[in-house]
Amino acid sequence: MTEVRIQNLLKQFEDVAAVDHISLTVHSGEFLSLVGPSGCGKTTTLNLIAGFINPDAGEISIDGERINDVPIYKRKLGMVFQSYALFPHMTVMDNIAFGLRMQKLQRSAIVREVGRALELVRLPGVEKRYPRQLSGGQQQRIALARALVIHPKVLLLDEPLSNLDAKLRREMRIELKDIQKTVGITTIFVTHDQEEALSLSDRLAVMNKGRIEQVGSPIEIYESPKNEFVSSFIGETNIFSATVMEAKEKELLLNINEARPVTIPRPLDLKFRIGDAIKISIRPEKLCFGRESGDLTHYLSGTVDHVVFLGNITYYTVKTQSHSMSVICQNLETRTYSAGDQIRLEYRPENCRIIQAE
Amino acid sequence: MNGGLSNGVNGLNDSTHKSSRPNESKQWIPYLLASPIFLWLTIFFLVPIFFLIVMSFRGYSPTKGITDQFTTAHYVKFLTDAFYLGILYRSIKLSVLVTLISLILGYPEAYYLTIIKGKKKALFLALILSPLFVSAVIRTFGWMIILAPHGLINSGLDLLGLIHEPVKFMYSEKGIVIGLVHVLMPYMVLSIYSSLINRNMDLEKAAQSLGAHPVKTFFKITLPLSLPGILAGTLIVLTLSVSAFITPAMLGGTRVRVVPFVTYEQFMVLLNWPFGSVAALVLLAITVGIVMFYHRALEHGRWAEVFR
Repeated sequence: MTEVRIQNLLKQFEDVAAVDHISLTVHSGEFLSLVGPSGCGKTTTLNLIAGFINPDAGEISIDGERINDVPIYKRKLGMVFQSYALFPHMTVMDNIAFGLRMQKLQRSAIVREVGRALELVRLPGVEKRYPRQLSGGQQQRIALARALVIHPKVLLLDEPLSNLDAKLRREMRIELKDIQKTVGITTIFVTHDQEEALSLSDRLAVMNKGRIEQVGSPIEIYESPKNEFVSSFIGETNIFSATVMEAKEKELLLNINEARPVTIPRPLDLKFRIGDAIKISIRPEKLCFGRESGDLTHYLSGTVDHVVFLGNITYYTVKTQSHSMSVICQNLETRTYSAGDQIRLEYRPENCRIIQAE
Repeated sequence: MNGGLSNGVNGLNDSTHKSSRPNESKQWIPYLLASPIFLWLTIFFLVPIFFLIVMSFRGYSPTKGITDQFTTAHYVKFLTDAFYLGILYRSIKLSVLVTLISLILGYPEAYYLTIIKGKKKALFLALILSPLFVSAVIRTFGWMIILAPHGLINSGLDLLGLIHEPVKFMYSEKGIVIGLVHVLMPYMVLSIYSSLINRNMDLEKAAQSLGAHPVKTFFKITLPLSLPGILAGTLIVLTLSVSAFITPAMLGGTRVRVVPFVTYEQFMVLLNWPFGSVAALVLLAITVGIVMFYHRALEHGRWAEVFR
């Protein structure tokens, strides 16, 4: 059970800080994803932890021991690359056995361990094949087996599923998580795909421009994003600029330049005055079309603009007085809406999140 | 998406498709396109070799010149006379030596070239290619000056007190090897470089992450995967050095003969074309044999996977 800690990590390339003083603790046995757009620093962070590059400042420690000066080949980490990096001139057996041979393990033990590793990734019997004879999904599993067979302290994965097609990706995701849970290894997973991050992780670290914007469980990140970046990068959202109109005891009334004010619960930890400018975010699935007998307070009026039927859900774009909003409805009802329909968008105050308070 | 793909494949085999059997009518096109080079090779390579073979069986007498007799006497002479066998052996020995030295010196140069960038790289590349900028004769003259008994090297060694009498570079095998390595190393370096430059750096990272320190990573991963470049480089250097004429002729002269020099002497000085042809053809046959064996050994041997 291994804990990874990075403190104040800095890595600069020319004048740009690819990793800008970040700190993070990955708990023992946890599956943590570094997720963010291209260039946010997630792969650089992983490379720093692996030892492929050296930080300009900051500490990296594993189980309390500083590993900044430990060379790559002594860090006892398992790594899976986006390109799998299987040795093309070696059989599956030799690929997986590579790390064990470096450890000078006995031949019989090596054969046994390789067999076990192949069973773990559900590919028994392919020892004599060469990587080029395997499909993408199979290669990826061999890469995983090779990384895990040496019983590393931490498993590092650099966008391992990015080279697979959509269906295979989703299948491999589930298998990957199963294997990780079975082995119980501390895992750091880098991806730009937020759906992947949400589905796999115990926690996510959302990164942008070399900094960590927010760390939390998938639910925390999704339902309580701290800022505009996190709320738009993870999932979809509608963002409104608002000014405080009225501050009641338990609620705030906000002017978002619509016919009706928006009500949100009053946060206990922040002070607000009339006229303060804030930004709020509400996710598309948290909006629904109102019925005549519905909520008469918390709604906005608008017209349906676009309708996209996606099978299990329907995606609407609704035009209100000053905004164009995304709405997602589960296909529970037989009632469907079409472009041009005048509708009422209902919401619950607690689903409106403050993402920027000035 | 799969449905679309299978439709496309079916379409080609469908007999009701407009241009039915489109593949058959165009099968001769590759051969047509290759015919100019086949023609060129036939006229300027195969035909001359054929004439050489014919020539090698013709009789020769010092008084009458080339006769119309059919004889295998020249082959017998070349292949049983210790003098000529010695020269044959020397030719092959020197070319193998030149190849090995070029490989050992050239690999690090090629590796270094993959690491440096920008102006440094351009400069280094120019230095590596520099032997090719000068004509063979001029370049070898330069070596004659440097390798002479009181030339640059001997004077330098004498000055340092390392020798008491000049080292014999000129008119010795040492000189020939130095001259040939100098001119052929660029080919070795560039062949290996082309193999190294496009390598997947993730492989080396993966090996290190699995516990292999850099030296081990080099020998287990980088070196085997650069074998195609090594094969290409060694083949080029081997064949060019065994058939080299100017450098061994000038640096070895008549004192250290190689087979191409013998061929030259026989053709130009002694006018014994049949015997000259024999020398050339025997060397050609042996060289082809070595190359084929070497090629086979690598592409079907332990490292066969690297060439897939």
